[in-house]
Amino acid sequence: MTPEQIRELYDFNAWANQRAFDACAALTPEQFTRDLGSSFPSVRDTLAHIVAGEWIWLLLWLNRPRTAGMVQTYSSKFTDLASIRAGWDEVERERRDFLAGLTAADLDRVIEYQSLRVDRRFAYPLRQMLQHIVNHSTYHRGQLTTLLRQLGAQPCATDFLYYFDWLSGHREG
Amino acid sequence: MSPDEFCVLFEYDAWANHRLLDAAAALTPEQFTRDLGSSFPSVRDTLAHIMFGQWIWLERWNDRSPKSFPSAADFPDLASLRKRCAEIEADLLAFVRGLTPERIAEVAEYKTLTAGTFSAPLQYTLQHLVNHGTYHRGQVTTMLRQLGAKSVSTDLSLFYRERGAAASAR
Repeated sequence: MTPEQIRELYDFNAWANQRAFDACAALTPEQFTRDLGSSFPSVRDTLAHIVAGEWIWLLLWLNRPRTAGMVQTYSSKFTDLASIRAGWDEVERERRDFLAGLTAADLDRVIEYQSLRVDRRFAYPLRQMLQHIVNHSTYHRGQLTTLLRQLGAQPCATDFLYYFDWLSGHREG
Repeated sequence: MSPDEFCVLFEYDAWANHRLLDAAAALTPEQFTRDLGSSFPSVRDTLAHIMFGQWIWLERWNDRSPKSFPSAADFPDLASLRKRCAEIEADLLAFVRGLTPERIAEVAEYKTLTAGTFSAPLQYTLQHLVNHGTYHRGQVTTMLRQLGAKSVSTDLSLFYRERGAAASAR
């Protein structure tokens, strides 16, 4: 993948997250935090996991310190949709700057790191990590849609192709 | 993206689907088809939808635009679904392994089931299909948990790690 294709993938991810956030705005506070037994119990927890996942990997790419327990502390401040949106906006802004300067050589750079969950070190080329996290957010947006439907709320389509149709104005917003 | 990169992505897609099908094997037939109110009601329906997505895009890439999906009800149990999945996966991987850079860049028209005619470079439809599978795999995981079954990670990072380990063991 080229840096341009990576940026395109992250533009899609930003669009999809915004749509997912919008779809959650119709929920009552009780629905937003109701335990529905998903991987992360509620809509709130699923959104927090998406944002925290994007955040903790960005820290790695920016070579900033990461410690076990950070994710939990970071996620615990997400009490409502407004705080989640604000948290994600910050991640998106920093990541956009990071991606703007990305070169083909950067994508091949192998980053080694200490896992925050198990006592192991892992290493991946930056390209694979960048792909992983968009795939990760897509996966959890799927879970979010299931939860929204189970709550009787209206989910919204975040298909990859729908994004390009939306960009070219083929379909209504 | 290069043909090789697409091969790896579709190998990931197949790996993830296998892991999910294995996890679904723990369900009773009733759990497998229980309506849990997801986009496609049950685990069975969601797994079938992932597979139908693969099928319909393969058809479109071969210049055919089907008018409807098959029915998930044609797959009453995991064994019948798994069998069809394996066939479609083989066709899909064969198609992806035959890709060239020129073909990936080609723009093709296709008809959707309800929204009319669209066109897109093959590259975008390929990326779409993998993203689509991932999205619905997330839904299957939610349902497996709600049914009290054990779920399984299908993270792309885990796939890369296992693939890397397998390559260095050879």
